[in-house]
Amino acid sequence: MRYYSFKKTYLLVIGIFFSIIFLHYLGILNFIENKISDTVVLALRPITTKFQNNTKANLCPNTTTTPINDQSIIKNKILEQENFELKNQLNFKKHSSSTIITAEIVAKNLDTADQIIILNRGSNDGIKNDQPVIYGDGILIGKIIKLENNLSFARVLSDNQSKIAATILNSDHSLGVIEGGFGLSIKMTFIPRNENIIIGDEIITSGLEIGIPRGLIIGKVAAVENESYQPFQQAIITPAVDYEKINFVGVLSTQ
Amino acid sequence: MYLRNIVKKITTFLLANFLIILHLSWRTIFHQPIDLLNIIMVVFLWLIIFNPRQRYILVATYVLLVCELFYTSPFGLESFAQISALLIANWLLLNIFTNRSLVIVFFIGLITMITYRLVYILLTYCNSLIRNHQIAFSPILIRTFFNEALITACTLSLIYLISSIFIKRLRPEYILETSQTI
Repeated sequence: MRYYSFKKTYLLVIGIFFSIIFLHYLGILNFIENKISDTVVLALRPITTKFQNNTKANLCPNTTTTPINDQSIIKNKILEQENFELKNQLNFKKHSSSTIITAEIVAKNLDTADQIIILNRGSNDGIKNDQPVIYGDGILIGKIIKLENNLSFARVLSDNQSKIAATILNSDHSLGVIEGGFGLSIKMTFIPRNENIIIGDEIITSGLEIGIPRGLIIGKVAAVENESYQPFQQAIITPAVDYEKINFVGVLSTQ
Repeated sequence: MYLRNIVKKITTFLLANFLIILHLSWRTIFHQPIDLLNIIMVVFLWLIIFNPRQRYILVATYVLLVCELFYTSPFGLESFAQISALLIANWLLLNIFTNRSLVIVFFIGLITMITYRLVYILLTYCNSLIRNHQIAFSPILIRTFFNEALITACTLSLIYLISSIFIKRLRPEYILETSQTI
């Protein structure tokens, strides 16, 4: 085996790396970065769409009566699903006063520590940071946290850093904070202990947070944890939709 | 010779881009725990285990910097953690773990992933101090990181095991050496 002097390599890598970081923060690389991310997304979209939709079509219970290897049937089912999602969004658009920017999910969960979805619309389409991301008929999915020219990154409610003000549709109109649990669960915390919560109560956004209107659906109460030694009670939430099985979302322009 | 070098460079560039697409698709298509596999680390660790070359580290820097565009953490944080873990692995392989047994390969995979996550945690903590953000490293997150390290190390060992059988058998020098011994 040939022996290479790696001292030079280490110095070269460190030099290149820090130069790129420096140029990035100066904004000089913006144009190249946007071109690269657009190209990667362009190549990524057909692969992820095909695989995700195939998985969905195979998982769909109706397909047991039809042969799943028939490509046209799968294609129809995919179109049916997309049609359903977009129709629901259109329905919400009719009742809502805010503008909705429809976007497709192109990638998910790049870092294992985060629950993030990447959308194919960015600042060029009028999306801004902290705008709510909804699915179908007003179901809240998350919030925009990072923007590129043609891409945006949304933090899903189940992410451990996600915090949204919410209210329960019960007799007390309990207020609390929706927090994610590393993609595994969603819970509502800071609910006063004396308020009565029943399993199955619906949870919506409270409207107390800037940029997020009242009335967006979050989910239902699945369990209540009210311990005598805790100052507040908390509720475990069943989300209104499975965040893993979404193709199209809408970004609510609230400003 | 000159043309061969150009073809080599173009092939490397195309393979690097293919790796980026593969890594992004894997993370998007699959759910936990399969999506925890870090394909980029597996590929570059496998390359530096078999044949430590300057080129691989440089290609890894390019791949990780492109992937950085798809992370939400501050630019450079993820790639710095991964590049430093790869450089440490390279140094360990050249100076300490010079043996290439399956156990060593497994441990180098584990050590690299643990180093990557330790650097990541340290940088995230520093970032939270600077930006005055609140972060929480709960046991679930630490368990996810450990699972990620374990899955990546196991996959690396498996790929190493399979490839070492084929590379040894198909390498002309190896065949020559064994035939001389016989």
